[in-house]
Amino acid sequence: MILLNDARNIEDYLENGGFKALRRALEFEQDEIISEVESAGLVGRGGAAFPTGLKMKFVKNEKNTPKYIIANADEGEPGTFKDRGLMEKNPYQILEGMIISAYAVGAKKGFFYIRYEYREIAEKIKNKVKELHRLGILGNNIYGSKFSFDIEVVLGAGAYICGEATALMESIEGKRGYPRIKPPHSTQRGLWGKPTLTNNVETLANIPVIINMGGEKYHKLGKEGCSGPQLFSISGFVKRPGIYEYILGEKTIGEAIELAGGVDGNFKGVMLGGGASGYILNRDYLDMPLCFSDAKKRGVALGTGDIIVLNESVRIWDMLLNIAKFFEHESCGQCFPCRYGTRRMREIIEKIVNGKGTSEDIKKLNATARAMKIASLCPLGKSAMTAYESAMKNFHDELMEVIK
Amino acid sequence: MEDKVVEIIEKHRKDDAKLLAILHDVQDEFGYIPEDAIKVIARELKMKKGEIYDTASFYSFFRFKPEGQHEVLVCDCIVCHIKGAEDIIKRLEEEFKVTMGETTKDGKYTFKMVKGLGHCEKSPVMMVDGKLYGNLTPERAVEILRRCEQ
Ligand SMILES: Cc1cc2nc3c(=O)[nH]c(=O)nc-3n(C[C@H](O)[C@H](O)[C@H](O)COP(=O)(O)O)c2cc1C
Ligand code: SF4
Ligand code: FES
Repeated sequence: MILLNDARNIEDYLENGGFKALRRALEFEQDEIISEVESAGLVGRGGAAFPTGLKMKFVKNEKNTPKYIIANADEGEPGTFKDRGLMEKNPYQILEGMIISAYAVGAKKGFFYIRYEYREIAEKIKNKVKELHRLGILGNNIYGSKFSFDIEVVLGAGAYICGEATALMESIEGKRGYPRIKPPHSTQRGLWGKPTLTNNVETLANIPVIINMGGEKYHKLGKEGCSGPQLFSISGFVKRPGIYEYILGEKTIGEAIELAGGVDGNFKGVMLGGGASGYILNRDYLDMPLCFSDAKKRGVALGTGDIIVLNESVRIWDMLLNIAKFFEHESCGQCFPCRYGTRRMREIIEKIVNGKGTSEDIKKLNATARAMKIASLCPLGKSAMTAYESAMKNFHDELMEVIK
Repeated sequence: MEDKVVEIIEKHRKDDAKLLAILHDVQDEFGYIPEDAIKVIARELKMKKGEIYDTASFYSFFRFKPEGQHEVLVCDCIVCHIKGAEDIIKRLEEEFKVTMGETTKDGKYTFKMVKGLGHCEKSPVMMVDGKLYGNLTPERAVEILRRCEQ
């Protein structure tokens, strides 16, 4: 295991080579670290799969100071719980990755933003931050170098949208979590208008690994189009639901389900890449390798790396209604297409679930989906209909059966 | 109350992300965010009362009136939903004579439906005063709550 090691105490972490990567990184030039991350081919694990090295470079090259770094532990996507597991089991690796990244881009202050539901974990991380201060691994002149860095732990208060990087910044600034209009990008003007690097906590945990093994070698883990380890949250109707770590590209969806004990009941399909903004897929996808490029080829995405297994007891319209309610509740309400569209989507699907759906309703749903995709301000509105659209493709007959 | 609120604000003076931290501590102290506390925060941080309320009301876990003794969060997000959350909610509503979002007449429990507790490997789940209970059945959910009464 590369990420999900059990090192809850500093002694365990140090014993297994913890903070060796940081000591080493502090002897590198900033650009050397970034080029290792680039050659590793690491992409973000928070859902958008953006190249991490490139994002670091953007922030590093900004002249404006001070710069900030954010560890995103908001983990609001339904069906996703891998960040929780990582923070519980191997928190120091995230912190080490955060310190190295901060050094690489020239940030002196970091924020560790954790969702309210993980309050207990937030308390633990706070204590670990204090502990690292005592050990000289945080604070002034880390390991005797010229680099100083501090981390503030911020507890969210219940808003899915605050996982979106710019909404999260608003939240840290003490405002409503409204996503910002881009450009400017937050790498240029983020927290308090200053260059800010935002990374998912799992992404950060990969940084010490890359420094220790070197970018080239890390890149070889995996296959064309995806490298490194990734955590998968596997839930729903499987016999052993939980968090599983695989090298990207090594396992197919079907194999991952088998390794999680197999289906509980008769297999029907999976929801992949996010329990709200992900894709509803049928058995044709079981042979798809868990790899970004394979997913892309088939018009889907790994997103936050979750697989919700569905058996025959699950009715797809009912599931879509649950998802529609989620988005209606979680739309921040800032822009009209999403605020109105998510409500309309819920109303129409509710009507269909009540057995009163007509072909006219399907047309309305499709039109709503199109409008939201074009006109929504942030990816929440743009992706709210992904589940519906993919279900229409993969479970067409079941969905149309109840339409008059 | 004022002294306590000022003390909380002082504790976070040096934080950059002050407001959420202060609101959390105020809520922990009083069980909710009282109007008078908002006044003090506004004065000390040199903000308008409306601004603070505007921020606080955006977040679903901040509350502005007292609630029941025990906070019960029942997850009805996708995984919990397909694994039977609806039956649990129905049973709890019958047993405690409330609908989700309400407090029981005796003031013991406030029930809330939430969207994703992040423990989907144990779905269906609920959280009672911050403690998680998983693999629920309607009977077990009732039993757990009855146990907190004793
Ligand atoms: C509605 C919405 C919610 C999001 N929630 C999260 C989240 O909980 N955690 C996370 O890491 N990224 C989340 N993201 C993605 C972030 O905006 C951002 O891309 C990510 O934190 C960048 O880190 P990465 O490059 O390491 O993935 C969310 C995005 C959107 C649009
Ligand atoms: S798309 Fe939805 S969530 Fe995003 S800014 Fe608009 S209203 Fe808010
Ligand atoms: S859906 Fe309920 S905990 Fe994840």
